[in-house]
Amino acid sequence: MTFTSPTPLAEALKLLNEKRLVPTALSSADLRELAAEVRRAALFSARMTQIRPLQALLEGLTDMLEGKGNVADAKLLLTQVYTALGYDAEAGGFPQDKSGTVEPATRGTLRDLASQRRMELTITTNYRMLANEAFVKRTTEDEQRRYQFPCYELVRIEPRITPRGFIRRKGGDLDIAPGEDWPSRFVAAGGELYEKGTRMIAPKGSDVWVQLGAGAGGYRDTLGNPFAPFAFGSGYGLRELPRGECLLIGVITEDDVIAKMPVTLQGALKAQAKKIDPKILEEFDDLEDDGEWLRLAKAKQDKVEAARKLRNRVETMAVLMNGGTRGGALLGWLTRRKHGWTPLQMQETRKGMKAMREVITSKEDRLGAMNLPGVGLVDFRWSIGPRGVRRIYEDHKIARRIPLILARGKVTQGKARVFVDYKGHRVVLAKDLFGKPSNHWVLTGYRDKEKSHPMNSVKIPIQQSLRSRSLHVLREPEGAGGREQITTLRARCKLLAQLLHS
Amino acid sequence: MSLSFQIDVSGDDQVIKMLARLRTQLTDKTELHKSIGTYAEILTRQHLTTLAGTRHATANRLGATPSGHLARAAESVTSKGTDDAAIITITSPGISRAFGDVTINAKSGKWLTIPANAEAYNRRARSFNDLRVAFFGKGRMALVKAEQSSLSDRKESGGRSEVYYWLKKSVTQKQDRTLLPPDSDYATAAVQGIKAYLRMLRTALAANT
Repeated sequence: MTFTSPTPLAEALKLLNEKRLVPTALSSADLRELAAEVRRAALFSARMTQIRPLQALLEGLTDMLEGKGNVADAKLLLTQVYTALGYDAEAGGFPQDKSGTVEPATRGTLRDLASQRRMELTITTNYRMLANEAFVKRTTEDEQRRYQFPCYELVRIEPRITPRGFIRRKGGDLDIAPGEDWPSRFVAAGGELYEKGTRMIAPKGSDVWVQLGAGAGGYRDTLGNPFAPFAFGSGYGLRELPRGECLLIGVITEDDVIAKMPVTLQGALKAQAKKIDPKILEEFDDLEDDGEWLRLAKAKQDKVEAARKLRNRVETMAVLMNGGTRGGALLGWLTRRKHGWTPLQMQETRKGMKAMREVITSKEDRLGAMNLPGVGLVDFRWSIGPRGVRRIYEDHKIARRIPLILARGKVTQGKARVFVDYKGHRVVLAKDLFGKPSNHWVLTGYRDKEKSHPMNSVKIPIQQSLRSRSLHVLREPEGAGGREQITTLRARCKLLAQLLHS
Repeated sequence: MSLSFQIDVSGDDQVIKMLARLRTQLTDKTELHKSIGTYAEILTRQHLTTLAGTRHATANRLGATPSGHLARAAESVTSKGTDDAAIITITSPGISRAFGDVTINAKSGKWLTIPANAEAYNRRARSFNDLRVAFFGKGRMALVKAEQSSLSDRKESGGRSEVYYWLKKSVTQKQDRTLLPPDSDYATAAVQGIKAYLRMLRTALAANT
């Protein structure tokens, strides 16, 4: 391979430059009522009533299409404009708008234009629409390409924690949401499923793609385009299929217009063929391209990726066997994979576990050890009268799991108490202890609801803790450096088994 | 930045030798190279799409939501043929690591900001309005929340300060050739492109027009 000078995504840039900036107070639902062609000719975002943010969006997208910037840069441009304009979602948006133009929105939600979620959705959706519109135009208008690759397949190109067609239950498991998945939508759009219902394929230019984008079947989250992304937040895209594979599967037949070589293309190719020694045309292998070479390449790549992951796991296991300190990070990885933790939960759990270790080791308080959404900052104090981490640690030996319970538990908030319940465990936070009010919530108590023991009053032997489902990270006896290590053979074996089978 | 590279087709394969003969006979090799480029483009897209589903090392390490930059790279792949070569273009920062080590130096008087937690991932440091520089041991510097930037503030909060960005003057990213398909796969794609072109020529000659 030789490296040459970089070139931008030219066709997509051209499409972007042709769009008009359209500030609007309309919601997504209202904008859906506009004709798709009208929406495609404009650059807008629901409830974005000022033109300067649209100009910033245009600049950010231009940089991305030219390869000079990324989503983070585009978000920065938008953030700077929102700050300069004094945007406040909860106050009704831009102060420059007339009162009541846009309804107030909760900060941090999708309706808050300045939230990270909203900005990422706006930028990535617009980028993908431009890149894919250019892709479909390029691969459909070129006669040679349309002849060589007559069909598209709808495939996943980006993973999702909760894919469309599923909902996530409180425990973290996935439940099927019937009818919301892409195969159902594809069929509702008039498409056919191939290879035992596993593949969504249709010819280029087929009405299926138009109907899929239009939301045929009553879907209200589509974007109205005959190209990806077909719906908000979709992780699906289009892939071209070679002619031989399309004929083999039966998506098209030799009699189909799209399978026949256009006359203009025939003429051009004949002119070229006449210049070539006929022996060359007779000598090569006559097999049709059924995509087998692509499947082989993917199978090889999957093996390489699997080997890379296994190498990483083996290295981690080696560290673990030698009593390494990656146990905490590995626990987090395993837990997240299994139970679908959010990144914020993982972050807070890591912070909390580290703080708890420090409190137990140093016997000193850690203020602001965790920050729970909807609750606020939580302090871990070693001892507050008869309560605190000391009592939980000495009586229940479960202090180290408290951050996990706090991060994942269900919160019930009272006047001066917060109860966090998770899988039969209850943690209590308080703001006024022994007449001393506090700005933060303070960890005061723990109760194992299944055992129905009064709080902080019954000692649970260590052996019982080891029998619990999750792995315990046990502390080495004092004088051994106080480093966190997985020391029990049973715990190591369990972790290794999980690694091997995950 | 974006990356463009040419497909070099060489070797002992019979079809490769045929390509050499073809090239001498075609006055305009654009369509042939376009066919090769198309197959290489599809291979590259598929490869990057697979990586987009599996490579989230930094996001996983920080407990953050993946940024999706590889999926966007996959959608940015284009190809074209010229009289001299088949050219693939990928418009995405970071892909040039596939061809060699990449050293990123901070501009004069500035620092590179390396995300250190989930909140900072996929965000520019300037999008925060409450970060300040903090100095740690061994000459390390970082951006932390304003109330934790001084040593006395950190002592009050129990010696903890959450680092949002580490500050560095330069960073070297090692080459990662696996970001793109191996050369052997590109050679296979090129062969497929040549065969497809020759098939079309035969079909055109056989057509009764």
